[in-house]
Amino acid sequence: MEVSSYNRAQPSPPSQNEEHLHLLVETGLLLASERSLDVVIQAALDAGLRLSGASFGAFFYTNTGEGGDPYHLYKIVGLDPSLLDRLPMPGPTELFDVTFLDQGVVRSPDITLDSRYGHNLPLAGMPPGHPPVRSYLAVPVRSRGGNVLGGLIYGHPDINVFSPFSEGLVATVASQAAVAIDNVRLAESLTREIALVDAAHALQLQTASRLRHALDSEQLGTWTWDRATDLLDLDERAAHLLLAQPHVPISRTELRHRIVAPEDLVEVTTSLRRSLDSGSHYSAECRVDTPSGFPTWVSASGVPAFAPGSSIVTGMVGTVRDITTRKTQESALRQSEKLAATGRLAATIAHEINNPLEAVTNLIYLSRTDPDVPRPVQRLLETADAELARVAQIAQQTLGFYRDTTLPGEIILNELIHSVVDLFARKMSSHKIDCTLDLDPNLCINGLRGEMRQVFSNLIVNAIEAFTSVPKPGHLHIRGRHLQRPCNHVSILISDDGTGIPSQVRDRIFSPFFTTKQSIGTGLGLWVTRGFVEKQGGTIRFRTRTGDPAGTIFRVFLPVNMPSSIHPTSSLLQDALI
Amino acid sequence: MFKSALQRILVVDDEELIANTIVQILNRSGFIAEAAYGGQEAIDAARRITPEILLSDILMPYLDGIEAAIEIQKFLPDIRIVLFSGQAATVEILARARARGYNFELLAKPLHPLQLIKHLQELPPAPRLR
Repeated sequence: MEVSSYNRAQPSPPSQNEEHLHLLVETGLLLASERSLDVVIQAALDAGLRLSGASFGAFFYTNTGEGGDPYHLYKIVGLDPSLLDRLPMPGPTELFDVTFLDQGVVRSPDITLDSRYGHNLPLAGMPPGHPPVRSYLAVPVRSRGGNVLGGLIYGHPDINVFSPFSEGLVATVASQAAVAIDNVRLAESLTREIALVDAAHALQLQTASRLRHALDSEQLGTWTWDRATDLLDLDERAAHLLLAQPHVPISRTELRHRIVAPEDLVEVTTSLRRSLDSGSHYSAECRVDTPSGFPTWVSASGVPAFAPGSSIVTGMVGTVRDITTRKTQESALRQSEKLAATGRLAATIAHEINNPLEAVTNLIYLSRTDPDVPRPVQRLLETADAELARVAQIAQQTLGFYRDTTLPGEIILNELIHSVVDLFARKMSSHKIDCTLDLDPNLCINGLRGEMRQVFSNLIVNAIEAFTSVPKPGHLHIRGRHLQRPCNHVSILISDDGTGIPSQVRDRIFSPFFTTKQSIGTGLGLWVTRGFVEKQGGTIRFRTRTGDPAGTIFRVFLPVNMPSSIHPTSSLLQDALI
Repeated sequence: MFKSALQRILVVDDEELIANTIVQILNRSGFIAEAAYGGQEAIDAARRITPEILLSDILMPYLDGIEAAIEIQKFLPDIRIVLFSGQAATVEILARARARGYNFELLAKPLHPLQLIKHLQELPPAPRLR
């Protein structure tokens, strides 16, 4: 037994050495090209078994993670594979520590005689089910970095099986395996890193896209500003709002003076100064003068950027948006609140004024129709009567809107228009305006007299006011026609040769609260006028021209019979009064 | 200009000056007019003179023009009723009357006497109760 064992340990004949070297080279080539950890370890384990002449072998991983067993039995060779599941994981024994901690090779002709063997309780040697081992060879697998990746351990039930030569062969396989494992791990970690980079890139794209959508949904433009150079960089929307080129650097000061409405310059400058001094959030609202002639309202806000480790503001990043709609609504709301307050005041005053007005009208009428009053006095009273009619008209127009509560009836427009023109005769003559009428006889419609009266009085007042900025004498012409097609309609044209309506306001003259008469207008005249005309079932249009010659023609087109569904007190009026 | 049979009109206004001047104007224009200065007084006068037309202010203390008109209509079903007022608030009162089935005509003060006379001369027959 001993002899045969000894014989085995004799140096191998040259033919066997050649075979071993051949195997070593093949294994080296295989390991160098392999990218699977499993295959690498299996190949190394197999080669080691054949090169050492062991009867069985195992590969243990060094567990580098936290907790758990220090060594992990990963693969076995020359044994029943089910042993992998049955054997307990090896603990930190003196013998293993040599291989895995001290990184030394252990080669023993009879491990049971080794001084380091069997000291570790509770097993004191091999666990139950472990194949019997006498010859023992353990070689660490060391990475390039010097740490132990694991170990190749071979055994044989006989003594004296492993020679120094076979130890050298196994050590070579171990170093080849170490390189291969390093490569596999490097490839794995590279793949992981690439996946991380990919994920980060995807997240970045997602974030950028989300930001873009958020900016789009709020219609926000973005800008950055560098304090040292005073240069602004604007994205497309910001550039569009601020009348500049996208991503073409422009000085903030220059842009401000070019586009910000003069009345808002102080606010914008103050707000910027405050933000720069205190390092606080910047926000400002201002009007931007656009080429159309109508300012848009924009709101800009930004956060300051600071020099590293300092409180000095070096620039800003921010957004800009169009707030014209909001501003218009706010202004309309303020106007309507004002109007509501005015309305309440008007209602109160109206009562106090209308009753004495009624009494005075009656008294003057009684005086001037008294046959005993001399003719010159009668004429004076007639003038007083006409002037009082103007007061009554003004009271109705300005102290609350006219509310027509009469039932629809026949209106002779000839009479109605004549009486409105008479009412404003004095005002026209003081403005040197002459008025001509060309009305077909008997222009009759069915409708609400008070509202129709208001329609023509609004249009005539507007026409008169079209001359106020022109010193030259003006001409007002009113033409009324029965229409053949469509039949049962009348058309009334009111034309003036005043200044005309500027093109930029033409779209808005029928909008509520729009007025060109800043200090005296309510901005409701034409809106109410159109409401009355449409309630009557008619339409109102206009043509206008500025320059030379200038003038405006309003055309009111009315059906002879108003639609039956319309009730005398319409919601339009209720709305206007609330 | 004058209708063959003179029409009797009851003019009601708590401002006596207005009621009196309108009565004078109407009496000169071919009507037989009489004044009352309150809602209850109007009802009493209506029983006495049985007018064809009632011309009444709306906002009056104690009994307003609409209540008086409704009361008078009960015993003079063919009376024609014209209300007049200088206040926007009367529109709401009128709307409430309409909700109760009374559809009155409302004229706005101030109303020029010529327009008033014309309006009264052209009054259609009294609308039936709805």
